Amino acid sequence: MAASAPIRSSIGRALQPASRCPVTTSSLNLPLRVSWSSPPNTASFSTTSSLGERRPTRDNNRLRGLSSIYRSGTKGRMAVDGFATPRPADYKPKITTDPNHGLWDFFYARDKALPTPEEDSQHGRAWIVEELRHKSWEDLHRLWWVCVKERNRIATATRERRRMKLVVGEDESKTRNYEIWKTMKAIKHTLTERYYAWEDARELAEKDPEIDLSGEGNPYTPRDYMEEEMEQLALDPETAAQQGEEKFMEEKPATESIDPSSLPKTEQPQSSPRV
Amino acid sequence: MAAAAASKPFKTGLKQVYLPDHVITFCRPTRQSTLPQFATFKVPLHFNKLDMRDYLLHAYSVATLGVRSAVMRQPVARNPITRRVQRPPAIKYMTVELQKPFVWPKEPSKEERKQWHDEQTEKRVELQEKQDQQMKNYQYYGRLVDPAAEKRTADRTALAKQARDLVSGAAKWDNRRELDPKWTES
Repeated sequence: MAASAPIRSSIGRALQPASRCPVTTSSLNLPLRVSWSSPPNTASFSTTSSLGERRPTRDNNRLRGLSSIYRSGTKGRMAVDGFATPRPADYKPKITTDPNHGLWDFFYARDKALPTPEEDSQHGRAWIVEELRHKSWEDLHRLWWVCVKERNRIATATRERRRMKLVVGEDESKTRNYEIWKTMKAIKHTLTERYYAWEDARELAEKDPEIDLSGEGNPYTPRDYMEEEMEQLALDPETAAQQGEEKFMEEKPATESIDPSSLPKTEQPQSSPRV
Repeated sequence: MAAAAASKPFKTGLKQVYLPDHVITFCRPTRQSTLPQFATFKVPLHFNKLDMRDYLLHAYSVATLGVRSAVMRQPVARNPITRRVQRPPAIKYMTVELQKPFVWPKEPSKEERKQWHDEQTEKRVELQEKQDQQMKNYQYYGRLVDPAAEKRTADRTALAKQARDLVSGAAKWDNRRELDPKWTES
């Protein structure tokens, strides 16, 4: 009942049509195509026809399976070669890209792979540090991400331009990229400045008795600016009475206010007689 | 809830990067057989697959099903400044499987190319390229033409066509002689 392997293979050989047999030994023997159209009104055999664009041999070797020593001829790919087997329908689905696909952000327009030099050169200047000093962290962060995506867009267009061997447009693209680079530098500059300011403020706060950096309770308890003086008054009323006599913005004698060094020199009586 | 799940179909990383400065280049598929469900990017060498996946999701809201990575070693070249022989840094490419297919826009036609190149420039570029190739051939083979390119002459092409016709049966073999009556065709 169970035929041995060699017998089975020879039966398979015998079952194949005569045209399939390696009669011609020419090296230019092309594999015979069995034309077989699937019967109408049936589902396609396979949905992977788009993968059928691959090369028939995986290593692109035209002579795979051929041997000049053994005169083997072309090897059959499958035991069913030569029989009318159903073939996958030659069907390639039409792909429509979603107009809101996220990858469109790598392009300037939906219908264009790369911008023309004129379009590329239509840009303004970079943001400067002075402008960015007035922006919040949220704004700066958003601007940073705009820059990141723009750089990706430029890199994609540059690669495409080089692939198509377009030499014009490189300079415009570089200039555009440079402006973005400058903006990113300015953002970093602003944030660094802000960080230094924060560091200095912290140092001051550590010395300030009004500020509590422990993180518990109210961090800032403002003290009344008269507080110290009121305490002094409570301690020694005598000096307070003295101070009370001095009137606010009282005119003082002019001699007191004048700096003696600024006065003209007066003749000083000589204490020691001249010899 | 469902929308949130759709927008974030996998568990993302926890490390927050506020000011990333790497440049990602979207590469046009070079092979015809590349499916629109795949997209290839040139990424920095330190990028890993998880980085790529999260980057595309957060920055471009593109959900991916899988990432494949390849590091391409660059050929040894001479440094144009120091004239030393060195190997340029490798290039990392990552191919992601997209949830939604994406087809690249068409490249500019020959007519549209004029927005970049006038005819003269086009010719100049062609000539320059030819000369570069010749220079390269001269350095490798000691002659201006690559022997591999030389092999396929018009003669060879005609012979191959004849052979193909003969095999397919389009042409019948004939030596334009009367067959001797002693011989019979089997």
